[in-house]
Amino acid sequence: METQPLPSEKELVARLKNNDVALFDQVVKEYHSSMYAVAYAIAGSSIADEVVQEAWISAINAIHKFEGRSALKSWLIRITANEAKSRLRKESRSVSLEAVNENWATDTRFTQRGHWAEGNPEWDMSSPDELLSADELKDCLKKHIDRLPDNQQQILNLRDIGGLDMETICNILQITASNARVLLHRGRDKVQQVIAKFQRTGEC
Amino acid sequence: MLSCKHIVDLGTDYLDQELGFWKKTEMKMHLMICRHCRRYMKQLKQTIAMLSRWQLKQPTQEQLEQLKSKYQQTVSEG
Repeated sequence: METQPLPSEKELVARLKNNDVALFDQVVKEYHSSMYAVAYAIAGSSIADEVVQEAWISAINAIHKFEGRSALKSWLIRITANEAKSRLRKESRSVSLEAVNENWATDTRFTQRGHWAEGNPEWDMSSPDELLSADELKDCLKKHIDRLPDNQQQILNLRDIGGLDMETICNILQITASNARVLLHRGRDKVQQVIAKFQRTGEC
Repeated sequence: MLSCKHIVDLGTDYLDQELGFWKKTEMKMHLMICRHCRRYMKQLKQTIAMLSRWQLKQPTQEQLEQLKSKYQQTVSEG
């Protein structure tokens, strides 16, 4: 895996315009994952790969016009989102806030009065690098994220993995900002719980 | 009074500064006295940081080569 950090934005863009293939290679590896998350969330898994390739090609064709008014990553994500939106999946997408509230009522982490039933212990692994170095944990998280309700999974992909801003996300998913935050929080909370359990028990 | 369960529920609203003045103040006071919820908020931030760094999907060698040759060709033509 590439560990060398990318140069500053200004240098990055200048070198990309100047046919620096090695740097381009690094940029693709660095941002591909976020772009894929956005494509996946908007257009679905069957065409996500295609959408990302198309987005890269659009970006390559437009790089000489890129003025650096936003970060390169935001620009790439915007291109991906637009590409994906033009091929939006047709499945219905109801916001299931009811299910969300039902789960909330029966959350076993808390007593009836809403106190932590067994406290909330400190994590041994806490930095992103530590957390991401545990393959077992990552497999476990993937499994649980896959099982999240569609909307929660989409928002987690768009916001936290893809880094898209909330306003754009609300436009894409056609939901209100407050609903988006509820769904996002449920997704994050689930991920937090999976990590917490894994650290406490070593099990998924 | 906000319970721990409420605090956990408001985590994202708090981080995104979407709480009104009184809710925010209540939450701050709760966090001052409750280490479990303080830890939860720390862990929520760590969770978000991890997600943003997670390289879930790498391009295949084939995809990468295809893009690199397209890049080389397009950019050198100006």
